[in-house]
Amino acid sequence: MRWLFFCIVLLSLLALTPVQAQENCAVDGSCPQTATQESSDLNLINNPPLVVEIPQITTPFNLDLKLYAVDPENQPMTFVFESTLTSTYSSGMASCSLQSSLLSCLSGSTSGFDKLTILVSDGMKTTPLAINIFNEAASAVSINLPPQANAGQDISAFPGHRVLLDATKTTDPNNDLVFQESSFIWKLNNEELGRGLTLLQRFDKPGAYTIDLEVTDAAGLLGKDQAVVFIQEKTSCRNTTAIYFPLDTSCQTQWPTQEGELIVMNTRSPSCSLVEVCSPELDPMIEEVLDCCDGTPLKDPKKSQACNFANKYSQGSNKRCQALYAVKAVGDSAIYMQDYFEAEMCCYGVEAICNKKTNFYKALPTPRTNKPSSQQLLCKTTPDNHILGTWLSDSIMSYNNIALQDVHAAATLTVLGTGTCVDYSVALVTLLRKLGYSNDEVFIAEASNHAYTIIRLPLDRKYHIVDTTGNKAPSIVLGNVPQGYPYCENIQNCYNDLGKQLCPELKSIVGCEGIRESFTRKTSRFSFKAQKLVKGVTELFVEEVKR
Amino acid sequence: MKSKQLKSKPLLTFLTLLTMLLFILPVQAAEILREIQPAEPAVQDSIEVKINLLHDGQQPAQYEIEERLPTDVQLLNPAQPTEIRQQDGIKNVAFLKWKIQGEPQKITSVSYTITAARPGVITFLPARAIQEDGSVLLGQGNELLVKCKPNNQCEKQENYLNCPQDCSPAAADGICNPSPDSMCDEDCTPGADIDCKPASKSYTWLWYLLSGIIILGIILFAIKLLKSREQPQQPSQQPQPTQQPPQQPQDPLAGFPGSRNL
Repeated sequence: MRWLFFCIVLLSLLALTPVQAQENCAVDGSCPQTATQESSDLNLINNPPLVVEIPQITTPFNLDLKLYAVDPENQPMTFVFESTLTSTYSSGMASCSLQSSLLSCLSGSTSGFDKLTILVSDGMKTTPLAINIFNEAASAVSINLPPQANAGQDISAFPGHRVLLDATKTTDPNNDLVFQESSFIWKLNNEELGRGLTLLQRFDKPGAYTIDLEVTDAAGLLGKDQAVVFIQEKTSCRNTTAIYFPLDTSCQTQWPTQEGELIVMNTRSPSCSLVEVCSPELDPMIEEVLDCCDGTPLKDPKKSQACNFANKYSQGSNKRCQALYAVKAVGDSAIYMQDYFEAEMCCYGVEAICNKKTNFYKALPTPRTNKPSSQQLLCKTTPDNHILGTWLSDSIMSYNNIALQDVHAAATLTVLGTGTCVDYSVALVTLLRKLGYSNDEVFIAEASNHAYTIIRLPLDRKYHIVDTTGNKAPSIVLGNVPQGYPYCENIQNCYNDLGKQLCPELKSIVGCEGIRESFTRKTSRFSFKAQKLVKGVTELFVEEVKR
Repeated sequence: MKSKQLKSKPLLTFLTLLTMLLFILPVQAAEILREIQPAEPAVQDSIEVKINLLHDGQQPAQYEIEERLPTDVQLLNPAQPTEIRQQDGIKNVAFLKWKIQGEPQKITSVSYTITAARPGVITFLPARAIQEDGSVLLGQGNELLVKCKPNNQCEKQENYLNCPQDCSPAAADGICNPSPDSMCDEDCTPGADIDCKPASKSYTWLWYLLSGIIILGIILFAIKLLKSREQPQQPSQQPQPTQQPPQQPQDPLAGFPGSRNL
């Protein structure tokens, strides 16, 4: 009897296993929409090795390629030169060899640039890794001379900043310097700080720190240089522990604060509270951006792809690389934010954007993000009590009402991990401002039914429009405007942590050149300038009177 | 005591089996990968995107694969996306969705075909495989550079990155190319491209200043002129002097006709 009972339970359990569909169908019921295939070839799901762009290197050098290549499946990788398909390569500029993942290049007799391509294989798939090398032909020197140590330029930073000591410009007249960690010793007050071609340091107290670099070549000859690190007192964000902040901000505290100008998009918020440049919670993201752009390899495949894009289109500008990585991370690489926060619209009953009527006045659909808090949200707006939402707590989700509200940047990025157009733009502008973009370089652009970002990338004369909403792909189109919305025509107002700002003229935005500005926009620009002028003069007058 | 132990033994076996079964059922590992062919397409080329899903579990399982289409492409096969959503102002956020059955240790593939209308980088977001329990498996994102069809003209959507055949490194394409190539790129901010000669000093301000001074001078001159014209009438407006001016000696012939104009 007991066994019979057991068998029944067992059969019932088996019956509970997933219901098998008759065939593979599209969700809308049209079966089959496109061809589906079945295979046992594991090659089909093998990711090729991912490689990180290598900055230009001057010969001679030793480089561990494992720092610049990662296999998502952790399969062992092999490296060969593309031109020879062996482990050796020689040209007038350099002669190189590969020992496992260690690439060693010696200077050739001809000066100039050379491009090496190394094939990285995981046994199934291969990825090319390009390296640009530069050979400065050394003059024939008969006697051995010490290396010419170069500790880089003096650095100015704030307490806690990540300071990169860089000796990559060091040369040796005899080419007998081995570019390995032990050849480069960094010292402060005769005490060793660390070793390596580059070294990351932090200084917590303001002051001038003189750093000594000692470089030893193969013959034991020593070259020396110095660099001074000036650590300044914090000028902004004094009431927070934030270590990265814009120099031209007036904000001193993080959310919740009444600092800044009151700005209105979906809800009213003080600009320093919304564009939260003083938030220390966002500093780890800033450090990740800095890592990407100073050559520190990012091992996460998702991040390394975004980082590759940023380095590839950086045109050699570190700051440009940082902006591109931030755009990808918030936007189409979906690293810091994922999905579109449709529930915010459904909770307020916005018919045009809430795709299912059954979700009206509910915290649904649940956003698909990697943040657990985003699964515990509440909607307190009802048809009878049609109120805008408020964000009151970053830790207790039940205090918040998500109905169409503008959330401060730190909560968007670290608590929710999702948002609507305003949230995406606020998050990106906050990161860019913390990265040092000035108040006339980056703005949240408010349009009639949308919001996006305007940024002037370093080197470029004109601004680019960027739309990261819901991980829109592509979020940035270099040399043009993203597709899918009349971005140029609909710009109404521009904001950042300093409040309402003057929007760039359409002729100064890439892709908007041919579009005529409306009369109202022109007059609003004039009145904005006049208001600023009057405000400035009044402030000066008041100051004089006080004096 | 012993009888109690005996009674509980089948129950214990049953519970053990049940626990084992429950442990086995949810173990449904999977991997997802997107393949794109060709690797370097040109504008209007047909691009086949294949999503491969390896079901690593012991039991067959159902998955919903969700692929969000990039905005800059046209869907060829299937002709229509499964779903179109609106995200704020962006109206056409298109999704393809499939329900597939994953067989143990087998790779199931679904595919679709697109074409790119303009050159540039197409970004594919990570494909999602949603399992029946709601858990989401994410694939990798992909980037695909769509090249132009060269026609010796650097057109609006083209730039030196996506169409080097048509656009020179210094083309007016909205992207600064600061590399030292003896060509000045007008897209660069002053000083960024060393090939650009420093702009000659502009003296426009001086012209404005001179014009201003001249206009001011004309206005002042005009005012002075007007004032000087008004001056003859001024005596009548001024109070009469108290002292009479010295009288001319009387003409003795005054009053006689023809006395003056002779």
